[in-house]
Amino acid sequence: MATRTEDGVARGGSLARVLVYGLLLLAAAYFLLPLYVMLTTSFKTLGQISGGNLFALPAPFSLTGWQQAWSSACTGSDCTGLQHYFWNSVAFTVPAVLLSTAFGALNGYVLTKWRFKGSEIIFGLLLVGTFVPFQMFLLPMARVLGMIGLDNSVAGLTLVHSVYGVAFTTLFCRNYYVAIPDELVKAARIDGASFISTFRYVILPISTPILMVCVIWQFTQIWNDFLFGVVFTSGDAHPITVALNNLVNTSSTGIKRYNVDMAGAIITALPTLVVYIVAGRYFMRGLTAGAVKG
Amino acid sequence: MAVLNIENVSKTFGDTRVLEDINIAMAEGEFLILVGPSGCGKSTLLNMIAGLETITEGQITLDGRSVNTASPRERNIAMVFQFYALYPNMNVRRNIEFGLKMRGVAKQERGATVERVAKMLQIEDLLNRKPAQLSGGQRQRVAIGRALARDPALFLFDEPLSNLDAKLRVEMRTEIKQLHQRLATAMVYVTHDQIEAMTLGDRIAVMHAGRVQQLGTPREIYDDPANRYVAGFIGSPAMNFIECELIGEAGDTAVCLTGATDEARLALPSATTERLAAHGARRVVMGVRPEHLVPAAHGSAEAIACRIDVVEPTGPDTYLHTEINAEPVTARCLPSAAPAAGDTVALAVDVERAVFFDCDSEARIA
Ligand SMILES: Nc1ncnc2c1ncn2[C@@H]1O[C@H](COP(=O)(O)OP(=O)(O)O)[C@@H](O)[C@H]1O
Ligand SMILES: [Mg+2]
Repeated sequence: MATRTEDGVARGGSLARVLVYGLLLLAAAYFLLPLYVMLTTSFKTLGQISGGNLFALPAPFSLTGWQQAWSSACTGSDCTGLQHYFWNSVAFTVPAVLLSTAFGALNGYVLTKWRFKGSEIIFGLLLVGTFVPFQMFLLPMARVLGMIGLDNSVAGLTLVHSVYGVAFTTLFCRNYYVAIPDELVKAARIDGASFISTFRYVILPISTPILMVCVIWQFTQIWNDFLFGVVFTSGDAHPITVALNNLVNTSSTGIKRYNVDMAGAIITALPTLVVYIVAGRYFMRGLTAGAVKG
Repeated sequence: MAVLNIENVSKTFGDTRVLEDINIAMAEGEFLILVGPSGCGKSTLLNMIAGLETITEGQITLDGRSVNTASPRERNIAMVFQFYALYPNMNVRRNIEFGLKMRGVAKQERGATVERVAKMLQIEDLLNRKPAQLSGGQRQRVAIGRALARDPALFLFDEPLSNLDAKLRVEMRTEIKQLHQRLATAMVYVTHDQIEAMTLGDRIAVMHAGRVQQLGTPREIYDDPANRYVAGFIGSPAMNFIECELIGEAGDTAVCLTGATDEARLALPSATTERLAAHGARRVVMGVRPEHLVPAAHGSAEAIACRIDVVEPTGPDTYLHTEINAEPVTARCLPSAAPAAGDTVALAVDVERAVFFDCDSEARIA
């Protein structure tokens, strides 16, 4: 039975509503339960983990898992925790995100506001770059990195991720800038602004939403990447994702230390989460901007 | 010396030719209008003057200096765009001074210029607002202010009023005219509105299909159109075009016009008949403006009896829609003398003011 509600939209009866809410709760639980288990487990002692209930709260509350994951757990033969690899990841993710975003914005600006003969073809080629799977880059990239002496280095990973990411950031920025009236750039040129000052004073200040989209997208892609990391680096130069894998698969004593594993996994996931929370409100705005002229 | 000289200029985009052999010379302080239908190449020509488009053929000189390869920055021009094109992130003050800043003018001097321009355009109290907080009319004022700040040798306007509502458009039109009288700087003004063209311009270039059809003063364009296109484009309601037969010899030629009933023969002035004879065609198109097709004085011999289909009062004038030679025409009369629809009225043509065009080429014959 349908009833009229205040906003005039007819909704289903109580049974339908119970079903809808039930489904939503189920979906929420599906996503939240693993997180709950991860969090609680990371604060438990090994004794509680082996003896107790998976869903119980930590008692006693222990930071040992976190301490070990950060500074003393073994990843292969090296037993200094994840900290070194965490900073490795920061060291290539931050510059790669900034570089690919900067180049994406510049490319988008040129492809929409300073068109030249063949610019559409170049954009088409870049677009193809977004469809090429990771795996196809591996061999050619490995050879190139070897030739220019950047194999097995943080600088090499920075390069790989910047190059791969530019296709995506260019696509995002180009689609955003296409909605900005060309007359704005013409006005700036009449006002005597150069190619760079037009970008700096006119285009960049109205690009925040799309730059946030680029940053979130690129940060997530690059920080979470495993494949490039495991192929192009070894030992000391590994990113945190590879180190986490090694940490989970190394057990000197033969006992699975779930608290350390969970803490390590959370440490690895935390930066992406922070980026989402800080820049996320721009994300949706950026994705929908340009649809309506404002 | 001409401020702006456009010589044999053509423009192609890929394979499409959008401008063909344009020649315009502009005097110091002149107000030049480019008028024509949408897509005829007005903006393209303006952009070429500004340096925003390349010149395919020909030459453009500003103050006697060829600017074919000069960037917009190197040309002493300012431009106002149809969609305002204000920088959305900057407030009004920073919008106005942006051009000065890009040219390295000191901060203090910029401030003084902004004050002067804002005062002239009465936008002093808007200086700290962002464009989004302004109405359409205010935005266009700021856009004009941005152009004024630089004190250029030539102003370019690209349909600056076409986004405003009718009343505001008329107000701003007057203001732009006053501004021009005050500054005495040359202006090129693009519009598709023939009333704007007639009211603002010292000279008008009527453009169509990538060519300048006629370049002249508003009076010349209105009274002495170069071809049928110009005659039909300028003037509202539009000029009547009546295809008709010429009879008689040179020196004594008449046209045959048929209204509702009988054929009337109108003798033409001798100057006209000579030019018609020189051309030689027996069928021509006669152009008569509605104000030259009016109810005839009583008992006039050369009157055409017409049945009025529609009566259209506009206030000062009343327009009558009828047919001559089976073509729809508009006549004008005083509101006090207006007939009713369905009446038959005797109309007279002022043959002294009538113009004649070739049926095929549409060129002016007489
Ligand atoms: N960048 C361009 N590439 C191709 N064709 C263009 C370009 N700009 C304008 N045109 C074409 O040139 C013609 C004239 O355009 P425009 O100068 O904008 O006309 P107007 O301002 O008189 O309405 C139009 O047919 C338009 O489609
Ligand atoms: Mg235009």
